[in-house]
Amino acid sequence: MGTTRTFEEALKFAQLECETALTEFLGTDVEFHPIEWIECHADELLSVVGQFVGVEEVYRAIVVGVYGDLQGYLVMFFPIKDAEELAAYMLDGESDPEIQESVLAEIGNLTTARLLMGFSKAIKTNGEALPTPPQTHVDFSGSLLQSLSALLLSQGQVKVFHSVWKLQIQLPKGTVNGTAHFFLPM
Amino acid sequence: MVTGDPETVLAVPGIGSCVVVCVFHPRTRLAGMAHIVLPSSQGRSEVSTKPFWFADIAVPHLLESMKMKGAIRPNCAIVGGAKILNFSLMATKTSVANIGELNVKSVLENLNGSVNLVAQIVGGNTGFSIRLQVANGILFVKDKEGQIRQINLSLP
Repeated sequence: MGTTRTFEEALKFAQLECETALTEFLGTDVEFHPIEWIECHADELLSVVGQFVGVEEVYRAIVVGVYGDLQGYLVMFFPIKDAEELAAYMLDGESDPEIQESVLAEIGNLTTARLLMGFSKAIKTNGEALPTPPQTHVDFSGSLLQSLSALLLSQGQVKVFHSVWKLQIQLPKGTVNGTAHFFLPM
Repeated sequence: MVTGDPETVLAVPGIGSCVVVCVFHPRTRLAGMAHIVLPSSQGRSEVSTKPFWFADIAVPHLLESMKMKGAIRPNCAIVGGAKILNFSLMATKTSVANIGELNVKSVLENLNGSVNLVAQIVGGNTGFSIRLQVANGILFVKDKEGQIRQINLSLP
């Protein structure tokens, strides 16, 4: 689907898009650092992502699929406490779990849209790439990643381009940390 | 994988749509585990390099490996087969609506009554983490709330 240079360019555009959009949306400083990107086998997701999250730890995860001309998946992991602090900040203390889920899902929505915008600037596509509605989960990161591996493999998508970003969101009470993982079948 | 080493703990840190088949034979003290990713190897090019992804290869192989060491009709527990991701828009194109359910069905078919099925912790929409202690045949199944179930696979 792309060359090394294309992906590097895509990541650069995506970083700028995501930082700008999330900073505007949240009204606070958001840093979106690309850590690395690698090509891996779909059955290696657990070990590859396991360098950045604890596979036996429970996280608040936001998952968005991309379909159409460009296919892929965005998975964002936040430690439970960080996700609660972020939701509380966004909702000004509102504690309804459904509303909290909804605002966190919106972060996934926005990030995917901007990632796609960034990628589309570097990867020339003929058609549309559309995100699915975001899904939120509280689960072992290993269970989510393993399910994603199985989904990719069942679709015959064996090689995957995986890019990792570290997210840092500055809140009055401190910094919320998370990671975002974008998987593009190759 | 089959082992009789009492120091060994067989573990899978995150199970979602996969199904893990855990077996223990009380007399021989042999334990085994198969981690199933997909239900069927039919038409799959990866079958030569990753045969044990598939229930129709991994389950018979596990049972045969136990049998060759004298462990016939072991106790068994299966865990997993959850529907965690639900991408119906994408799944409709490739008929992979519920991999977890298909994995469970295929595992049960391939076990084919050759085990003493002690427990099935399958389905649902959340994951598990498991450990099987070879020393005593105890299987620990942890859910996302941190609750741990113990399943004794060592009873005759």
